[in-house]
Amino acid sequence: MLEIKNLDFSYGKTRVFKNFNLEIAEGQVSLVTGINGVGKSTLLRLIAGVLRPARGEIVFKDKFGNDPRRKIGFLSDVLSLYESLTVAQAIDYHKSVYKISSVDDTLIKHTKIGYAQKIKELSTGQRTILHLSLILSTEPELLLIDEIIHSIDAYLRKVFLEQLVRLLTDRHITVVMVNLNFHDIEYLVERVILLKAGEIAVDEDIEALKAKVKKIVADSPPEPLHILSQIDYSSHSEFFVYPFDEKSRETLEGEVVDLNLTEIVTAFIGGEYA
Amino acid sequence: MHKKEVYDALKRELECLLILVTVPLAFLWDRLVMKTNWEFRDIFSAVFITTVIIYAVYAGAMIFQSEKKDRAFEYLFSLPVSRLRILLAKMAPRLAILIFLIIVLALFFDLDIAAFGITFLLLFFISAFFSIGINSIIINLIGVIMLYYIFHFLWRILMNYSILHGLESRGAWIIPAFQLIGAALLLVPMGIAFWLTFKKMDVKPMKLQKRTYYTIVFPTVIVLIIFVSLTFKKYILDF
Repeated sequence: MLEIKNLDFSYGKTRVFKNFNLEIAEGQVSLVTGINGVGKSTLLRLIAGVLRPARGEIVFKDKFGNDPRRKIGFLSDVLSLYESLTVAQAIDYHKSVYKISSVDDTLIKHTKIGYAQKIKELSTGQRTILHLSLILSTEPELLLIDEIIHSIDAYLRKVFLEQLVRLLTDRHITVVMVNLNFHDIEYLVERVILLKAGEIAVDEDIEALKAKVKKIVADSPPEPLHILSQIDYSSHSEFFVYPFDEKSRETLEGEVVDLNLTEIVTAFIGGEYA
Repeated sequence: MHKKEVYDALKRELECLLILVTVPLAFLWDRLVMKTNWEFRDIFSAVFITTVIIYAVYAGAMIFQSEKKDRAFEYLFSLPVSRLRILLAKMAPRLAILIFLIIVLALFFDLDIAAFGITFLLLFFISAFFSIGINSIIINLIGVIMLYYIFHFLWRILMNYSILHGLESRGAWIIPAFQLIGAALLLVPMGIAFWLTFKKMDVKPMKLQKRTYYTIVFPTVIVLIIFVSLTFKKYILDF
């Protein structure tokens, strides 16, 4: 689907990526995560074409055509739209740029958005749904979603995720999302990419990752396993280990506990702050 | 996209045309206080010319205003639209309105369309080219005034130099021709700086993206100021 090759990017003197490489397969749902400021949103913006790399390239498959942005839907965390336009004008604008005859307003009808309302009068949730409707009307092959799901209310989140599942099932689109909170998207994610200091620290299939990251409740460190982070209590400690080796289960002292995606990412991120 | 830009350009023009409501007030002021007995038509034309000057500067300076105010650069740059198309969509309606106003001035107020036209277009382009490097409207305006004065002396210096060195033609074409040369000397480097910056522009903070712009614009302005300063006495004062 897309390949990032030897990419360099900086904000002035602050380097974000140096010689960064990544491949995203078609139809895959990838989650990009990492501590704040590591470059997650920057990575999405580079793929979306709203940031330009200083060096390197992002190569898309042929079906993206001359201008890949035509096949990319980018739902950014700032939900950038012309705020002084009304909803109807914003829809018209989007239709004229993409030369499409209509925008499916099924999602918009779930919210209380009025077509005469200005964009700046909409709530974050309403803007997200409007933005998603605009994006989906152009039938993107690649959907980039930046840390927005959890800033909308439970009902709109459900609407949003249902639409996303429908897209994944019906059109097999590729999704790259940036998130720090995963409890209601875990079932969608197939691949986890953890960024650290502008590089990929972990890049695993979610099931493989779940098998490799475990919590061990014990009194002493579970040697020789590598400890990502640990939490000490008065009676015992919790050790988060990666990579966990099934062979070591029998010889380990303490209880081995499976983790969900949120706990896994928290363990990695906790290790970085330790 | 075009519809929005036309709407924006018309909005700016209407904002500027609001200045015309001061004409009756100026007329009354003249009659009651100043007592110079200007004709209504003369006051109207003076205010209308001022309005067109303000529109030229304002339309140029505000060319990216909706993107700046609405934080819409990210949306705009995520759309499958080339930078050239964006620029044409922004420039075309604003220029069309300005040219329409220049034609109105020429038809109804009997002005020299070439001289006024070149000046108004120059103001528009300087202001537009400044808008990418300068956020403040006030600083943009100061820059436009400064460059206008450079232009004002530059074309005269070039014309007088040519006359002193044997240019014989004193036809009607000579002033607009040297105005065009003066405008080109200012606008070509500024336009190149503007285009190179806009072509590579992304959503990084603007202060990180202005190096190319300033690398071209600053030396150009400094060279022209030095040139005008050194030649001013000989080709303007003593001519």
